[in-house]
Amino acid sequence: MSNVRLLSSDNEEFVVQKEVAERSVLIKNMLEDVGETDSAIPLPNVTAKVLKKVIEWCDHHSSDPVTTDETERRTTDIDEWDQKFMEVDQETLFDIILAANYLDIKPLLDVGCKTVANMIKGKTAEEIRKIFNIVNDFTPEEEAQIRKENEWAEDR
Amino acid sequence: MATEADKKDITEELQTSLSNNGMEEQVHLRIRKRVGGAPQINRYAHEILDHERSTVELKPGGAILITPHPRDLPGEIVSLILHHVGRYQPDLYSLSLVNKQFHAIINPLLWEAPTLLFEKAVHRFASGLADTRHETSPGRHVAKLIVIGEDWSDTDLSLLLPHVRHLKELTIHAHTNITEASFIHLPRHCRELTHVTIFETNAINEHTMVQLTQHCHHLQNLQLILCPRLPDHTFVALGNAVLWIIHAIRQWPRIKSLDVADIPSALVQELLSLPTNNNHNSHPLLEQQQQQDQPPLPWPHLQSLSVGNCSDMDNTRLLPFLQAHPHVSELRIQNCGIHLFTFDDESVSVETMAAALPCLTSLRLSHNYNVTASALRRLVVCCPQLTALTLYHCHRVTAADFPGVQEEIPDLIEMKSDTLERIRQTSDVR
Repeated sequence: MSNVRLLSSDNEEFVVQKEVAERSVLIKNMLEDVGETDSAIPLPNVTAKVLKKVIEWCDHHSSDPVTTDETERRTTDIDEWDQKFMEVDQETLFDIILAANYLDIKPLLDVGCKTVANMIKGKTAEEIRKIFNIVNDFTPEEEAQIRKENEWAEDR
Repeated sequence: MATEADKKDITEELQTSLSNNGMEEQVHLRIRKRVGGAPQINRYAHEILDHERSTVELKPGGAILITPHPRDLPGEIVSLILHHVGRYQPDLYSLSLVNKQFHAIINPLLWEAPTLLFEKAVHRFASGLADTRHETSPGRHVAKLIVIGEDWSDTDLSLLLPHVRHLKELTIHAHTNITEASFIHLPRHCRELTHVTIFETNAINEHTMVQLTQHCHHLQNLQLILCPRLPDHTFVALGNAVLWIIHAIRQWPRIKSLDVADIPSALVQELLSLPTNNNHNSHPLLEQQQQQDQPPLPWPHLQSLSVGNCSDMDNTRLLPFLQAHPHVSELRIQNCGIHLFTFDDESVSVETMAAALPCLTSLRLSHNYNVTASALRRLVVCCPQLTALTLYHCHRVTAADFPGVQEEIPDLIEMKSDTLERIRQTSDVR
């Protein structure tokens, strides 16, 4: 089985089985466009630390069937291995999501997004703002109006 | 004195700077001197700083150096995450208050199919909507509404109806306090209705039916289950009003599902009789309808039929209806006298009935005490697409009647495709 060389943004090179690398639609398309090549594929948006994690995920899931059903992909629970895989600090988690988005690895993107979604569940608006580093851009009047309109949904 | 506009300016400037410059670039922002001293603005600035603490530096001269935090995610990813949060309302409520971007994504999800289980929630929902302007009302997102419990009153329904103009599916359960006084306005306000299900309520009468036919042309599924006002004032008399109701229902050619369980037997007979008898359309309420052309079949798209509690129904009456509706794939027959689907009298053979159901995939029979195993076996053989057969309280049928598969169906309630295929293979009735 042929290998592919990937170059991270901080110039670290990774040699990966083609089948594993092709979990990324971006890389798969690149390989189809350029054909057989000895050159490393530069990935300027992904650091070595994150690329290593992404490769680990792709390796574990290399034989997974490709699910085209968007709904099925989005509604299935996170499996045990993925839950363990996503036990990283928040910054790394967000970096993995950004890398999955850039590399077009939809199942990994979904796992990342579901993990963050699980972190959000049960939190107040203020706690969510802290997780996402978000500034409340409502005026007090706007916020009061939304609280009033949506009050029916508040009770847990 | 600092104003709300000043606060808004700062926020917008921050947001614009953050979004314009990307994650790697730094953003410089200078707070204007004129707002720097105002206690309100100071508090607001501190709030911002608190959020940005790990990435914000205050420089001499009032300049703030902000390095966008790596946790900032592009909008499309935020949207994807929020769609994974699920539909638990209290979570959506919290998310709707985070910021404007979250609110824009979440509010349509929160309002799409509200669940209102408590009195407080019902009144808050209705009165909250009443205070909004129609064009910006979150009620425009409501597509599905289930009205359940005594907490619902005419006042609540009247308050919310003008705001839920895109409502598609409405279910009204028993024991609400909604009456025809508010319900009659439903069709006028909610013209996009496709599904209406009404259980055991006084809310619907023949006038509402008129309104439904006049305004709700997209209606596909109408279920009227134990609606006493309909039999009391319309159906029981079996006069023109009954025929009008039948006619009215036939005005919706898009109906895919027809559930006539628990309405008077005579009405079921009329509904399933073909063709439409226009000679009876003399009810005054029909005057506007009489000019309209009848479709060639009452419901050319009908896929699901449920008939219940109709003691007079038999195979000879059902057969012409099924022959005229060859797309029926789901058929539910409940407590329909002694003859339907028994084939005891052989007035309609199993094979003829099966030929009328070329698309049948699901058959549910309950409380049909005279259904026989031999008839069912022949039906299974003659309907190769049948993948689900359900039998409740069909006492003449036992598992022993299906040799070879009786271990798979000890309770004989649900037969799935594998079992049905085995029955076909082990039957010699081809």
